[in-house]
Amino acid sequence: MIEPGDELCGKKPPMTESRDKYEGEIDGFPFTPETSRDWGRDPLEFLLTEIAERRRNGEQPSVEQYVARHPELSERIRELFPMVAAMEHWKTRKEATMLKGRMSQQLEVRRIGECRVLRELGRGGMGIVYEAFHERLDCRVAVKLLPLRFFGASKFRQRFEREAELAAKLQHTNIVPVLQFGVHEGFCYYVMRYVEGVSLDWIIDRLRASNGIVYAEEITQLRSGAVTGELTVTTNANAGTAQPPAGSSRSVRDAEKPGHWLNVSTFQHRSLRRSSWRKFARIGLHVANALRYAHRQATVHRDIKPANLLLDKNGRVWITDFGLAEGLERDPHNDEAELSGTLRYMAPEQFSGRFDERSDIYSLGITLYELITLRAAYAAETRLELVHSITQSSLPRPRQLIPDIPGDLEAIVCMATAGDPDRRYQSAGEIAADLICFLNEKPVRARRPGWDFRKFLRQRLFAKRQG
Amino acid sequence: MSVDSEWMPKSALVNRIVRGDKQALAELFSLNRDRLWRMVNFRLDRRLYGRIDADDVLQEAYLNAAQRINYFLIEASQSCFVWLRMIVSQTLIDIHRRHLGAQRRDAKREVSIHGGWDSQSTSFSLSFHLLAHLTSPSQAAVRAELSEQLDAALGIMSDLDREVLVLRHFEELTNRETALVLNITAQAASIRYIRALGRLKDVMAAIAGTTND
Repeated sequence: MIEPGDELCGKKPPMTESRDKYEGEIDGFPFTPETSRDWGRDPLEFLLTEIAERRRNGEQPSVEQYVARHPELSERIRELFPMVAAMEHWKTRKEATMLKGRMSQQLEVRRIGECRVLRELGRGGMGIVYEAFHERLDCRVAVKLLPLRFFGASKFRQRFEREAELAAKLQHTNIVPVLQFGVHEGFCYYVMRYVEGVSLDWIIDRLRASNGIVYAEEITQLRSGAVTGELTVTTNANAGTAQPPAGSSRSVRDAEKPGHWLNVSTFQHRSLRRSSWRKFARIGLHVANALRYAHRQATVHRDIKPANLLLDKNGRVWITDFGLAEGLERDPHNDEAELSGTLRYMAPEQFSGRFDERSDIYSLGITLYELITLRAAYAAETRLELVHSITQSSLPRPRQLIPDIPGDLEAIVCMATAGDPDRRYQSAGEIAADLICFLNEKPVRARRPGWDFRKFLRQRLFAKRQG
Repeated sequence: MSVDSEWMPKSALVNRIVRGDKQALAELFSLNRDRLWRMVNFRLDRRLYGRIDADDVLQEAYLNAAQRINYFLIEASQSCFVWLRMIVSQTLIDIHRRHLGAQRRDAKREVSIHGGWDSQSTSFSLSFHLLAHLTSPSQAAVRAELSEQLDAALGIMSDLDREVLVLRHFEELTNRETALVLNITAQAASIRYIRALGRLKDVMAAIAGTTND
């Protein structure tokens, strides 16, 4: 007899029906041999069970492998294999919904790890963000609690830890640093530096409003909205410790180093207007620089969008949520993606499961598109329509909407948002270079869309044939 | 006993439970917790969300299991997991009755300790999950969402087909466990599973067809 304590080995059974082996046999009971238990089992069921088990263990079994091994069942395997995959996908989705539903109802947090929670900044499908004080580091931080609950060492938790470790390694002036991560009462969290800024989607909303100007002081007042990303800001603009509007913005100007355009604040004139084309380009450049750095470390963001870009009062852009929780949050089939407005920024190839650094460039392109045109790149009534328009890349040219947009800036945005990844900028460095050219009034590499004479001819020919 | 070492550990656990060791029962319970938690969440009536937590149900179920520990030898001889699942299910039924009133469900739907499982008793709150987000299958199809199409497809399948799929995939039961839960042979369980998958394929194809129109 094995000693108690040795019993919970917790080892996951490798494959088919192996869980049955874990069923204990009771001493003195007639032992049922494995073979007679399974007598008459449909051989196809045997195979499909194995496929499901392998998926649960994180493998990606291929249909062809099974078809080759069991040619006599090939047709049925091909038929039913996708159903097994669909059911497993469905389970994961339901599970995630349950975990999320659970969290929002009951959670009231005072401490998370080493952090004393000061207040809730926002909450949404992707979790809850708190402003907190980190007692050991002695500084203000933002803590994002993810709505994912893990039992034991599940594969989700391992993935979260791997991603958080990677994210914590990113050190760049335009990336919000991840300081720490951990698990609080079963929920994963990560601690980020607190950035006093507002998200770009807030900026876009403000610019769209009638007066169309955002002042730097507003950011100081509104800093509460900063780290919430896609979450709804629950605090009002002047809540709590918000400072009164600064009488002069000396500190803002002191931060600038005039003469070097890279360091010149986006809020040089303490405001951002609808036609601040150069400031928009600088915002794009900050993001492109951060992407170039992260891509060199083999980390992609997967969710570049205005809500994930913070602008602080010095005009610096900060990317949040780098490389985090990609599995659950960045799934294009996830409902939350639609709700949080993520879908619109996804590159067409993401819908067929492909993703590389050029997809991040696409998302940056769409973000810039919305920043310069102040309208949603794709407005669709339903998800299906939206996905359809994105995959058709039917984006109106920015200058058709707003003729004042500089041609070169339009060209950069159009090249970044090309539907075919091969026609886009191939790296973040390339788009950064073009943005620098634009800022220095040098010709850009991107060709203006109107200048594509051959395409123009092709379209004319096509139109004639249609007619 | 001619057993291989792989399942020896659990044998020891089981033998401790047979001798009335409640600590061992708690360990067995936590070994199966993931699957039981999912089952509770899935089968909990929507009206109880926010009032009842899956963890509370499991806690109560564990206490019920501890009370039945003397019956473990007889009742769990086929499968420990199926025994625990049955106790959790009975607990869930009690909780539903306590909170929603007895009239909601008739006696026939209850689980008998010895008679195994009645498929209806496990389906009762599925509809809440399946129908929560949509009003008709075609409406779901328009949204071109795989999971919603599956919700719709499962919603219009027969109780038994749906139950087999939910047991095999959502609750991650093995073929043998499914057979025990449905009180049928392993052969019949495997055939029903394959048949249910085939019907799912047909229903999904029909739904996808309406999308493309």
